[in-house]
Amino acid sequence: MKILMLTALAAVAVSVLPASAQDDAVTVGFPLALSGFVAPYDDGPLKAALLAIDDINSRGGLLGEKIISVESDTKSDPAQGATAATDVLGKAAKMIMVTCDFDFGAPAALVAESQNVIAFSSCAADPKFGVQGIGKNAYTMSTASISQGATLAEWAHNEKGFKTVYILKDTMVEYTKSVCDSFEARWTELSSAESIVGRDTFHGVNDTSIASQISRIKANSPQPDFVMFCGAVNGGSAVRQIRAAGIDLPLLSSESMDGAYWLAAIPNLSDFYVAVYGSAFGNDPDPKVNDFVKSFSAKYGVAPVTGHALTGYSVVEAWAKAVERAGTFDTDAVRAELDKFTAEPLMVGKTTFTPELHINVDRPMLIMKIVNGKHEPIERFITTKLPKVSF
Amino acid sequence: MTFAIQTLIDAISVGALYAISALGIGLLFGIMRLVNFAQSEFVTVGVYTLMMLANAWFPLAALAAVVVVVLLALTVERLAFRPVRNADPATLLIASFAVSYFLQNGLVLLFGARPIGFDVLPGLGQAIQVETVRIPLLNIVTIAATSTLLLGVGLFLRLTRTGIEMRAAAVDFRMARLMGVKADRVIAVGFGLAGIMSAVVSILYAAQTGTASPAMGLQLALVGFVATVIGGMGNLPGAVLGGLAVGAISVLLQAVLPPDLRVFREAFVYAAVIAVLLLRPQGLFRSAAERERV
Amino acid sequence: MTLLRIDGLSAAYGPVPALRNVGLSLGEGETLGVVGANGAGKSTLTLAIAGIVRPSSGDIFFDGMSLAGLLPETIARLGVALVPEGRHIFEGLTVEENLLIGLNGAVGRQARRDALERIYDAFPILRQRRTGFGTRLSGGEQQQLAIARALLMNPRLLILDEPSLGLAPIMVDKVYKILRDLRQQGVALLLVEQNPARIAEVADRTVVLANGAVRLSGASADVLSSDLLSRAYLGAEEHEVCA
Repeated sequence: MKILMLTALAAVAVSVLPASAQDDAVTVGFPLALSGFVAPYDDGPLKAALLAIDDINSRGGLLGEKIISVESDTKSDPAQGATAATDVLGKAAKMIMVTCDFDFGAPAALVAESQNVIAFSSCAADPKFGVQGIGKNAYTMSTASISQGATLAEWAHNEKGFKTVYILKDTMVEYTKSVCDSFEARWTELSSAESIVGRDTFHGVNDTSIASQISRIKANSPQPDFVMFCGAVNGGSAVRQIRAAGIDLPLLSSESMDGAYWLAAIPNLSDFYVAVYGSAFGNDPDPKVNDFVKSFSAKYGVAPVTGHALTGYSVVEAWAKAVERAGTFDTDAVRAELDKFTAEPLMVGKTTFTPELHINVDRPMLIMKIVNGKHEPIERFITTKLPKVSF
Repeated sequence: MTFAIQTLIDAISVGALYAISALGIGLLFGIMRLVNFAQSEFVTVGVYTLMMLANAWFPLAALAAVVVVVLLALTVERLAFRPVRNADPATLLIASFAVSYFLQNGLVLLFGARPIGFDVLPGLGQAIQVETVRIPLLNIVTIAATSTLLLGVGLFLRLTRTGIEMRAAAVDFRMARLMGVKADRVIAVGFGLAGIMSAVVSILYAAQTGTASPAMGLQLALVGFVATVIGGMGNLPGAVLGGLAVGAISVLLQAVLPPDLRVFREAFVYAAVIAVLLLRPQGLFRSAAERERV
Repeated sequence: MTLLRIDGLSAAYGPVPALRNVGLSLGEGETLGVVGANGAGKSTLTLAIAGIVRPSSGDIFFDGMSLAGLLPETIARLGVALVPEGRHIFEGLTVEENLLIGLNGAVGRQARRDALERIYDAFPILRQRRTGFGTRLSGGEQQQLAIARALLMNPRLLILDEPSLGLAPIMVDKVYKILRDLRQQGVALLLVEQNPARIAEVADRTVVLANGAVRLSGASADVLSSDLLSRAYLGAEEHEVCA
């Protein structure tokens, strides 16, 4: 009974806290997909962002103020994004973090833009997420999809010494198309068009089988040195089918294939390379990332599913740094500081923003290799020739 | 040549899966004018059942999938479709969307939306080499299982009293009832059969993809519906042929289209469907003599 | 002994009334003709008895039992067989399969086989075409099939809606021969025809429907010779009874 009353009291205390703490607290808003189909992709970044808030608060807060968070569920519906953003902005959010995808995150960011509030997407990898596509207050903590593709091309060519490639592209989302297209452009520069021995497309959801794509890969003689695999949702299914068909070629992929949740489909998968933000498995070459994974696991009981969580941590980190430098929460001043970021060492990696470009194109990605179903880090790598950004 | 034979095997194997989907959809459409989009979730629930039992003895897991899916199908019929059974087809369609949406979101609530990898029947990853052609065991099992199932359902529909009643109900439900065929029974058996077929699809699909995700059955149900349209609504052999045709055409288009056009493969498939609807609204596989009486 | 009694039956399709306060009765082994113009409500009457059309008021009693709210299949299993207009042969089913649908009551393989053989004896053409599709038969053969499979239901009341519609005269002869035989065997018949020309050959009594209501009823010969008949077809108002 006593415990019950205490809990009740605590609940009352918590519920009145934001109001009473209004004067010495600053609010960060999270209009995110807390439920529905996009929820898994917002879950890690959100938890990491809350962890970043804890870290800052434990160091005494921001400009002497405690950071508090408000969440609002977009229910994985782009239309609900605007409502959710209005909701958290109505609770005086000074910055909002939106969904890890242009289509799902933009509606919320547009509302923030109209109220002159900074909106960060955790990991929307489309350069449109920024000044050109939304407005001057929109940023994304991702590394642009075009850099990811070019990076994988250069790494495969220069570091692995691969000579020929087969390109397999999931056409369901813009992201994977962009990764494969930028891969192809950079690969062609480094090698030649002829060294691309074949290319094919599939649809991550509509193709119940990629049997036909697999038969085409196998029909190549000689076989390519590796397959550039631009897959995302249900990528595990495609990899299972590829390996089941006896294709043991190295597969290269980008951060959409991060995580071990799909690996059970292909026990003892090997020769699979993936470029990620950082290792979610506690073996990152950067000890700072491993510490993050440790405190994440301590707080939530499980390690982050993918390295995307790092982007969420760095959203809060970046904004807090800019606020400190500006000495105010004023959006215009904070934005001016953000736009001065040059190779800023954040949890997610070196981060650069300019008044024109609110996405990273030159931040190294961690290349990991899956050996017998285990992720092993290789190195951080970034293409030496930055792709031309088009919006 | 190898590529051609390989593609042909792919086409049959993909088409076989679609054929069973189409038969399930076609059966219920025939009996009660219901386009059962919830069949996609019958398959998905089967896959999740297998995922949860991935470490169990496979025959047990497979049996569990069949039992769970059949019970789900019967429950859905009882709770969702029976109350609106006599409503117009549009109402039934909306009811099936509602059931599908409900089940899909239920799966998201229970398991999250992130796909879950698991390994079932890893032995099917093996292949047998015939000359230069490498036939994955899974293809052989898919073709064998679907043929067996189609044959089984075919014999059931042709030789058993209930089967004949179902065929009669599928073409003229009212007349069948006027002759004493029990509506509740026929519909329940129809849902049970659709459940068994969905469960078999889910086992094959799980073995192929090793992935459970909440919306994975949608495409199968959609193709099943398209296949019944192509085959002729209410015409069960037509639905099976339609399913085979859609699967085979998809695979063949993927194989022969130049890379730039492959992205639009679905558009070609659906253009073909529209052409069928315009030129032969009664379906591809319905003979002229049968048509006269309709 | 009254087999079928209909009291004050009304039915409507939406706002359009199809039957108004219809009352009639039919004794065991009796044959009742129902005639009337197109749209008079004849088919609706048959469908209401069979449980397809739900009446808005009134009641139908079969063998003393109210059929209100019963499912069509339950009514069929009670012994009411309807051969609806248009015959409704099952497409894609063979002649024999069409017949088998009617065999609800017969238990056991042998009993079913015997019942089927008796029907084949009565309808030799069906035996001849047993493995062919029912829809491939000629119109008259289809009508025979429709009647035959209804008989396999072992009905106590057989309702036929326009059995001679669209048939060649020779086929009509054949169908009426069958109906006369059935009557001999003591099956109660409710025979609906738009064209009353031949109804007296079979029906003891005849009811004339117009605008969903009974306009005329009585012994067939009287009704059909009455000069009120043509008025009923034209939709006269008053209800006459031929003495």
